[in-house]
Amino acid sequence: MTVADLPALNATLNLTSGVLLILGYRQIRRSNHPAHKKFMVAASIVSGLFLISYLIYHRAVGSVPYPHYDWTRTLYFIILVPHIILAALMVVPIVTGLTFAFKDKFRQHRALMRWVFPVWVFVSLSGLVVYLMLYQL
Amino acid sequence: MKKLLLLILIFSISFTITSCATRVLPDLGDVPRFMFTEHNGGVFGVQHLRGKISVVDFIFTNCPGICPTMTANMKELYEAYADSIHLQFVSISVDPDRDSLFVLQKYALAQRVYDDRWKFLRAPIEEVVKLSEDGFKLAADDLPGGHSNKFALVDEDGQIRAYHDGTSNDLKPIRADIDMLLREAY
Repeated sequence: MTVADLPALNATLNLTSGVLLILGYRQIRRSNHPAHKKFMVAASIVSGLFLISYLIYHRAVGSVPYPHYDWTRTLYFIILVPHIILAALMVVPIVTGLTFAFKDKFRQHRALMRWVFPVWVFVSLSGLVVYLMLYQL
Repeated sequence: MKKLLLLILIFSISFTITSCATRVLPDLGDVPRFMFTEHNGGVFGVQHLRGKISVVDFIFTNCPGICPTMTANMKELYEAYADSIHLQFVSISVDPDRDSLFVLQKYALAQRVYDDRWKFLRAPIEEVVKLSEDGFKLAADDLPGGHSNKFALVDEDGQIRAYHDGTSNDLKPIRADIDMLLREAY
């Protein structure tokens, strides 16, 4: 496996964490707390792995410019910029929210994760779109 | 150096967002057991507070002072949350000698209360004092005029979560807390 394989791996990790988040959300809507916990912990681990892999890749290659100069360029940046900002801002809320859950502080966990969840799903899925546009277009 | 500053900025912003988003109302005490009578004649005890978010106040129908304002505010909330089956309003009389069930029924009708989302309770005065002071930590001296002006917010587990000034002409703070409790529970 080379550095060139990392973008595909990262995209897979992003997609996987997005799917795990949605599955975990469905479980809590059904009040299935043990399954909810399993999915969300898995999503966190996968997101964590993504973060590490992403940092390794960008340490190695620097920044990768978007090669097209048509209308897709506008779309690319409209997705990329919020993705980066929100991803950076989400680390503290996610870690805090997980901590609340592990400390049984479920009121705080729910209050926080209510908005963390949709933002996190957006970050995961937008990351996948960024990958597809940058490497597959 | 620039990267470090950026990291610090990101962490500060996300810490701030996290604290704002994690605002929850504190636990201020369990409402203790009580068993009063509501204006339609049924019983109303602590178990009737459970399962719903409740706004509770202490009034009496002959009150020349703060009760009209308090009741007007309750009424505004009662109408604002007309579609909410999870919210109820409870007004407890501190003047049971004059506030008979019939008087309370008339009072309820005067507020255009035709459903069971707003209950008016009466009970022997010692029990009302006990509930106000021991239960809600609201002073009940020199009744009936000396009753509290506070609205107490009780969650669906019977836990008191907030107190608000029932005579205030700004209902936004209490509405914010009610909305927070509704979101928390449902």
